[in-house]
Amino acid sequence: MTAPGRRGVSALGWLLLGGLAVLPLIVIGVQALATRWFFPDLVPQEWTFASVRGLASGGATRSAVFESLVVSLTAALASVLLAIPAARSLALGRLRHARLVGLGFLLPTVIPPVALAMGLNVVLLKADLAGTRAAVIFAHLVATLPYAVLVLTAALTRYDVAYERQAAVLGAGAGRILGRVFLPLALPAIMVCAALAFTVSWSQYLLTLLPGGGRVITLPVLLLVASDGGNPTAAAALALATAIPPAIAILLVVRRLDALGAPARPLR
Amino acid sequence: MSVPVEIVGVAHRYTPRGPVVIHDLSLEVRAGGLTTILGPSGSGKSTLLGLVAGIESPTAGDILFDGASIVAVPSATRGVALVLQQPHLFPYMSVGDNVTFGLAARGVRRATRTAEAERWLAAVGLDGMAGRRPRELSGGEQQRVALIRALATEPRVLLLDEPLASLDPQVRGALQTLLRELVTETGVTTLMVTHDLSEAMSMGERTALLLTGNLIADEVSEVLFNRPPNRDAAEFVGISTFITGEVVDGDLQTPAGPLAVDGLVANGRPALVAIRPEHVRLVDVDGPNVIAGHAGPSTFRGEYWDVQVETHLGALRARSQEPTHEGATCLVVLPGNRLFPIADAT
Repeated sequence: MTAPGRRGVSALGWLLLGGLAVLPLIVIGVQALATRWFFPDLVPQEWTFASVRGLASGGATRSAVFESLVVSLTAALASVLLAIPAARSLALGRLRHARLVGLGFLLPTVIPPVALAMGLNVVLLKADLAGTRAAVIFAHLVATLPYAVLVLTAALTRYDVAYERQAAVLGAGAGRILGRVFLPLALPAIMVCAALAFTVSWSQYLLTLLPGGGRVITLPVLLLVASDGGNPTAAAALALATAIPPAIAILLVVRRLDALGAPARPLR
Repeated sequence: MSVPVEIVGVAHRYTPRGPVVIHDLSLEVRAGGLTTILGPSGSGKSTLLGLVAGIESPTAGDILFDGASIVAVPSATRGVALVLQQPHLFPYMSVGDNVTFGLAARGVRRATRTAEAERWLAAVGLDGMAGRRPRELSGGEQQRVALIRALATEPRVLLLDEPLASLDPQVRGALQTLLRELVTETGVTTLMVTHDLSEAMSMGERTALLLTGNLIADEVSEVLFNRPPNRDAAEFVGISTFITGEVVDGDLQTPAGPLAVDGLVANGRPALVAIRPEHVRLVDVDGPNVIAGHAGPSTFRGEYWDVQVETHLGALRARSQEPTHEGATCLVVLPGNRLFPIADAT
């Protein structure tokens, strides 16, 4: 491709990125501060900080943020803890019919969320867990685990087991190999896996509402209620608040990966 | 403490129905000795090392250190250390922590480890580098760290799996010298895998040659190079001139006339003899063991010309200081003290 051609493709890429990612955020940001904004006006007629102030001082929002953090952090942690042994077995060829088992892990992602939520709800009702935070975390885990296993398996296919063999021959036992060799080497992949699981969990609405029975209120649930409430300014402010934690998680991971120089070093 | 290593009738396959990669192999390494395991890719060299290291378990046979079987002993407590082709230094640790990784695994205190790291780093000319990260070192420096990381555990047996193969020739030569010095100084019994003939000859007091999982030869390195025991070994060490004939009065009777061969005794029986290529030369004067022929193409090899000569023994490759006109009559000498009898089969 010629240099002008490359520049054209690059410009188109930036335009798409701007259109798909940045522009909607700007619009929501403006909406969060607008009281009177009618089509076809480019900017609102009146501005207000009332919704943002309400968001910061509202007890319901604070409670939803806390609930979201607890649920998503727990789901992410559980996903990582379960994904590590699963991905190791799948990636390092220690499992018979690994490809089939890997596909099995992905099954929840192909089932429509409504069907998945209803099915899970039945199971949780029978287990007398419906309406609890534990039920919501379990439901989120069903959604996050496939992605966690998928990402970690893909990363660990490049993992060089020779590091562990080297450590074993040098006298390291299983615990030391896990703590001083595997985890540090796989840390970049584990961090990406955790961030993804957290983000997937954070945005779950149906898998919160049904298993939680309306008693577990996370930010997406609150956001949906606000969207139906006829107050676009409040809904936009809440939408922005909902977008912040996943963005922070991704940024933290990216910064940490840069600091580690990952993932090229530890993985083959 | 160095120990003798005995590998007794070892066989190995990676999966129950998989191919046999090591066949009934027996080998002895004296305490403190350095034996190189030579062979092409896929010959089972690294597998053999993995069996001694405890990374794999043999499907048959036994491995003994100092007369005691170690097959059931876990890798971590076998008293072996392994250096691979790639240094595999832990990238998130300092160079010093890498050197003393094995000592930390054994519960050695931090202060002792720091002192040990400095001592070993100084021994290989890397003084003051304990605080650096592996990525800050060159390839040769990293491999030196990998080597002292292995030696710092004071292993009973040191296993080297092509540790110099990925280095450029200059660094490789320097590290060969360093490696020999360290092994001699520590007196550790060493098994070193290589596919490089010259490295095997320069490093090992003995060389074991493996082909397709079979031990073809186990000889003093110089003997393997100059007088390999069988045809397979001879071909691997670069010998291509083989002559068959019948032994009559101590000489080998050939279609080109009798050839005097040192050590040929079996009168009245067919024999196979061989000679290293560098000992087959063009000469100007006829004499004992000189064969006439017609020159074929000459190839310049830097230090000599490689001339193909058609003789009654077939095509021979002879060395000359000058090129020879194709088709010219020439004389080739096969010195009797360089010809040696050889077994046709392994």
